[in-house]
Amino acid sequence: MVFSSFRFAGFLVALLLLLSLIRSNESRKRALCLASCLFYAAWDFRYLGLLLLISGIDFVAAAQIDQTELPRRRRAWLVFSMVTNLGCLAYFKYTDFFIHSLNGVLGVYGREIPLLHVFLPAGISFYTFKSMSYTIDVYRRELRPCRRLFDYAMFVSFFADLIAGPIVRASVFLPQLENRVGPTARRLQEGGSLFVIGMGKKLLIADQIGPIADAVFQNPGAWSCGMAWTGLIAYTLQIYCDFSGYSDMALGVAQMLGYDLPENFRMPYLSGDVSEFWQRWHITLSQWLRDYLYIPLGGNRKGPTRTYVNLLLTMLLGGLWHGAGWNFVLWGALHGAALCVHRAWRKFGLRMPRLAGQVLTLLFVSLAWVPFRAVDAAATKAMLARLIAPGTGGSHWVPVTVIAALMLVAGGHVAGLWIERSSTERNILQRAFNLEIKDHPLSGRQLVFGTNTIGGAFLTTSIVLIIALFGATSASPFIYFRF
Amino acid sequence: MTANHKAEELERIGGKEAISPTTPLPKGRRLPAIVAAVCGIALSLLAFEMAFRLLLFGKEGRDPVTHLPVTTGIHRIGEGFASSHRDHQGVRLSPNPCSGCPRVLVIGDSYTDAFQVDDTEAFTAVAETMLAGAHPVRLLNAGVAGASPADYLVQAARYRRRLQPAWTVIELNADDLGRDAFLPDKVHFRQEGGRLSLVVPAPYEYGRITQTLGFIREQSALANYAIARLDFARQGPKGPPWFRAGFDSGTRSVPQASQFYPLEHELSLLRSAYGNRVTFLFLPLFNTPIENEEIRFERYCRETTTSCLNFRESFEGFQRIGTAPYGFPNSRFAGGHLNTAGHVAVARLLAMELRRLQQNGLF
Repeated sequence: MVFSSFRFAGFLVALLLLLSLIRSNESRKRALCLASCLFYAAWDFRYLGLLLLISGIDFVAAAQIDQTELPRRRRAWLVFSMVTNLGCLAYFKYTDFFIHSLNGVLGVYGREIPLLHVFLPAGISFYTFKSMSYTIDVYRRELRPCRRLFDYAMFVSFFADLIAGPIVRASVFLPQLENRVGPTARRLQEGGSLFVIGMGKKLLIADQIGPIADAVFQNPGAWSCGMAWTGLIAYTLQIYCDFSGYSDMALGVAQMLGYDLPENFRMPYLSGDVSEFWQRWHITLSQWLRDYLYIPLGGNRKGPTRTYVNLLLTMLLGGLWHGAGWNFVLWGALHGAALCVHRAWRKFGLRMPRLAGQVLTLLFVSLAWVPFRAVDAAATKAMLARLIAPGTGGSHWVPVTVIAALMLVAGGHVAGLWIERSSTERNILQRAFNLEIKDHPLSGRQLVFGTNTIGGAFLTTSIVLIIALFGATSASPFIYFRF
Repeated sequence: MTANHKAEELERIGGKEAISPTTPLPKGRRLPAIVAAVCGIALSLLAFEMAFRLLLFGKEGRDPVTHLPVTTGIHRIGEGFASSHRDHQGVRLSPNPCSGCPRVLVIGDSYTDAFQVDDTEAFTAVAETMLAGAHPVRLLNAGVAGASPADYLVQAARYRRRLQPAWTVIELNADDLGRDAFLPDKVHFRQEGGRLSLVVPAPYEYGRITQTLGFIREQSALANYAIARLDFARQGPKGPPWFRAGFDSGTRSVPQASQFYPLEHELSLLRSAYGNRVTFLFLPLFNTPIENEEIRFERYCRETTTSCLNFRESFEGFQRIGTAPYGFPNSRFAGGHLNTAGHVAVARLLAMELRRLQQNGLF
């Protein structure tokens, strides 16, 4: 059930109606948990059991960790939880990748292990990370364990962030379950605004330029150098609008239902360096990797060499988290190397004008998308060869869709900067169009559309009509669903 | 901000919202706010309605025989940027129509009606200009999107009576002769014991809902577009089906392609319906291997010495310079309908053939 589909719209409306009729907080949570299971079952009913099993194991493990003071016993339960989560992730996501890689070596001796063709359960990378953060936090005594299994199952299975994040930590979500929050008029307005913005990013930009990026990456050798760059720009815009659009929709849905999720994107393509990029792109994953991988590895506390190794290792594993393929490892390695270079650059006290840094970062991030998007090493090589070989023939074309998307994204960033720098006090423009800039402790700054003035109603209706009438008609899956 | 602080902050917000879920407007301001909202929504709808009326400036109707939608004037923006104008007979307007010249009827589907290019850029208009000097011809473009050989056959008598062509050009592609001519929900062929018969479905008997929707569509260009789009979205790729594992991209339901279509029989029927004064213009897809239908088409033309044109012979020129005859900057490369360069190339082929036919005294 894709967020941008009619089916999801029906599901959400029905759920909001149901929740608004329920008075008790407990019943509301139960209804929401069941709805989340239904949502997941609509994706893949076969693995709903796996989701609930992981929830159950981590719930028990955390309770056991909390109950005992014996360090060995606590550690044993933590290891049990980690092995279960990572074992499931490794089996479902990486088995075929490992066999395939092993076959590369065995092939020399004329042997081959048959692939198992394991089906990847939807959202497994996200919910295992979510659940692991809970047991680790309880182990570190940073979080009290959840007392009710139902509440914990609700946290893990919450449908808004289940399939493609943001990776919400238990410390952020579980306390919200104690409050009597539900769909209110204000929350509907705020969440609805965020949902519409996300929907616009997905349907008006990502889904419109996706086919252009697909065409170029499918057969880079057939295109001219200019078209290769056009395809790369298209993918750079597509992945941002697709993923940040999904995150906006997830945050919006959660807000409408009465819960708050953390911000996942903060205009990453305006970053002045790679380190800043990772503070603005997929923020919840970067923070997860920082807190549960980089810092436990030693972070920057064990000397410069170890810091660089830790950075590289964290990004390599971050790359592998995205997908079972060497191209993702390469993507992670590129970002890891860039982070090391940036760290060394800063250490030597070198400086660069911010604009130059922004251009360089954007260029690096865009080029790093090549291995991320290309299916294998050969395709990566072919695409890079096209990008650096002007005047070597190939088909050419001027897709105005990419130009329009570029303008829309640029306009969106200008609006984003305006929102970032504007006061939450309403100015004339905000009053005329009934706009509100809201500072949210978790979700960051967001724009809320209103309909209390003619201008506001006009703007809101027009935005909805533009998306409905000119957005892509097919509900194509979000890119991050496959991770 | 630590996790505990965040939790406290959330608790605070949650508690506050539980007491005061919304910021209600003061009593005296509620009505003006509702009126403002209604006015704003109405204004927006009106603006969109006007924009859509500007895009669809001609009359939209249905062909009485084939029931296919026919539009007399439209600005196309989704695939190419162009304006099309048609006369009351459904013939696309030509920039410099030649009066008293031999009339050549050109029929076909959306590749011929060519909403994606301006009136002056359609291959019929370009070919007319190319032939204007020594061999002037009036080319009557009566292409209709969605039409197939079954439609051309059922319209033959009417076209010949009304437009009185000296020659007819029929634009075809592999799908036209195969799948599209056998779709059961429109005029189509039926195979019965080696015979090919034409089935003309009875006029649609609309239900009450369809009638109401039809009425709304006639009144509002915006509603017309929205309903058509809804229908398109309904037919397009869908998300995964309920309670089924994996992702199913979903496709439109079409008859099995493995069926053996009697192309030769169809072509013969068309030839005789238009008085054996026919040129078949075949438009294959770009950069795709030759399909079986195309081979059979070529063989039929050779064996019956019919006047035939195959657009594939122009492909090499496009491949050499790295462009394509199909596709627009706002659609996709090498896909969809003929672009301006494609129309010029088709016009060149057509003009050469019509000149040859004229020189041979065939019209």
